[in-house]
Amino acid sequence: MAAYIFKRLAQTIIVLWGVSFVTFILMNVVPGDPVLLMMEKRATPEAIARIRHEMGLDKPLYTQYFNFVKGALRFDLGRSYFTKEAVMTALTRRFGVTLRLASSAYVIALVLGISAGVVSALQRGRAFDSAVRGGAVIGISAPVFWVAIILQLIFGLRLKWFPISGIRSPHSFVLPAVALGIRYMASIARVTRTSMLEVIHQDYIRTARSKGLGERAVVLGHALKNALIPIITLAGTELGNLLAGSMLTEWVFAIPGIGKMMVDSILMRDLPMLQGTVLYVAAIFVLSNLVVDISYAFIDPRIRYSKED
Amino acid sequence: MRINMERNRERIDTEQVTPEQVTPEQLTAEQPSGGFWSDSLRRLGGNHLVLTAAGILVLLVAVAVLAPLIAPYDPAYQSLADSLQGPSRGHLLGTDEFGRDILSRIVYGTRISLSVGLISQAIACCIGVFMGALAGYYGGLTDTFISRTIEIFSAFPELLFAIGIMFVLGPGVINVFIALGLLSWTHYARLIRGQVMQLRETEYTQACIVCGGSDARVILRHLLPNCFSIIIVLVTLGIPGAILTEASLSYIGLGVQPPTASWGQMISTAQQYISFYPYYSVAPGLAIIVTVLSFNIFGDGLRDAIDPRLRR
Repeated sequence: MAAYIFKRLAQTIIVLWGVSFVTFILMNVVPGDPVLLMMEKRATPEAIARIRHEMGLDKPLYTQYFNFVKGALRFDLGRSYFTKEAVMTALTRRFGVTLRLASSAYVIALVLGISAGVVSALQRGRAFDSAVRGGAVIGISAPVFWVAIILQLIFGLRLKWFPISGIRSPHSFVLPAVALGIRYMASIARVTRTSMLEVIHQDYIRTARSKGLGERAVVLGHALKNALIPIITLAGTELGNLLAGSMLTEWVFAIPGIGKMMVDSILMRDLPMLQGTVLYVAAIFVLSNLVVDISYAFIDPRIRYSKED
Repeated sequence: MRINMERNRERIDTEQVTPEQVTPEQLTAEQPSGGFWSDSLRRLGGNHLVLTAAGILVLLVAVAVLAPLIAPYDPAYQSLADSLQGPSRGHLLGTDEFGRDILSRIVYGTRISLSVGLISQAIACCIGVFMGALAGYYGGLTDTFISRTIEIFSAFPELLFAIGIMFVLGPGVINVFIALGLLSWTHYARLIRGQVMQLRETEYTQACIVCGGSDARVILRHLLPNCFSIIIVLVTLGIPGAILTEASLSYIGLGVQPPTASWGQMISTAQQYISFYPYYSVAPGLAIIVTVLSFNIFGDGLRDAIDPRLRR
């Protein structure tokens, strides 16, 4: 077990290094001189050279990369070209907002998705099952930003139940969380249904029934527990996707989270901000996958033993 | 899950009759058609939902190809006097902020969405199959290097990565093809690598190697043709994702640029008028859903018909 965790950790470090490398390369091949972008057109060549020196842009690329990694290891991702705020400070501040949105969406997706999947599997072939399957495939096929707009239109503009932008009240998180959660709810419902159907005809379920256990105990304690593995994998990988996917939702609802910050920094061509955000989100994504893999080994002894061989 | 599958297979095996008891007539009676493809097609044909999805896809391709004949107006024709009008007999889905016919723009948008789906997946498929075959066939250092590269590429959430590449390349249809191709090659590489690794150990492959077949011959003539069904399923299931990502990119303003009609970008413009003119946002969104939905249903059906083990 320890060996497995160690191996996964080592892999994660390599991947994180690769991520920093790819991010750095991407940002450095962007056409256009960042200094010229942030300066007035009338700036003198001396002024430009001075800024360039201050920002370390006159050094060779490998030195710049080295400094970037050194900074990132100390949680220093540089400063915004425009607001001059430290990127890390902005990220931490806005991460709280994104986390609130993403976790609400996550809870909605998990609770409703798993319940819908379980009931659908138990009622296989009946109306409820067809409704869940149809709803799920539509949920997967609809663009997140469009769902967000339609929710705004119906529940915000027409019925006036919820505000359509900002984060002034807890109320205003409802529509964005639903918009963001629908897609994940759909994929979780699908996987839960398939996984439950695989498990439900196993011998141990028949044994559980025949020893007189109630339906509730059989379904929750025996069937769902064993069907959980693929659901956990999906839930784990979706967590990272959810954080990244909140980008469009935040944009539609004007929520000042990481996603909106990223789109804003793209539109303003604020390179340090964008570079920092990309690195940050990718790191969260990689780490959440690591946590999933390790928790996997805890839950399913088969994985633990096969990995130790 | 793997273990469950093995167990099921064992159970099925013990229940089956032993080979000696089966006469050739019985075999043909149980399996009326031969061949892998005709069997798959038969399974596919039995599913009405999948057939409907396939029908819609054929229709969509026809719309894309015949766009100039089908669209009632030129999608770029502006008439400011008629801007933002609701559905009428003249304009079935109304007009946009420049008085252009929304239906015609949606019809032309089909071209963008379908070509983005097909071309990006073709690019991804070429890169992914090449890398996957190299990694699976040679193993060792080559495999380690390619596998780590795959891991690094998959470490970015998809939309984030697409945005990063589009930011570097700049907006435009061609760049969308490239970005989405670079985005999804890892799916192909991963599966092809595993498949090639397995096939490499088969007797016919070993026989070809022993007879002095070159690596290229073994890979191109023996290994890849056996991966063909997987590749087809992957392409079909990759297209809807690519269409959705293109819509998202165009929605943010990094994808297809005006005046070219793209569904994502139409929704982005329509959003400004949502309070008094909701039709404008609804129509392109429904177009995206119908297209992506049909690909998803068809892809799932194809996967189940060809190889249910691909189900994740």
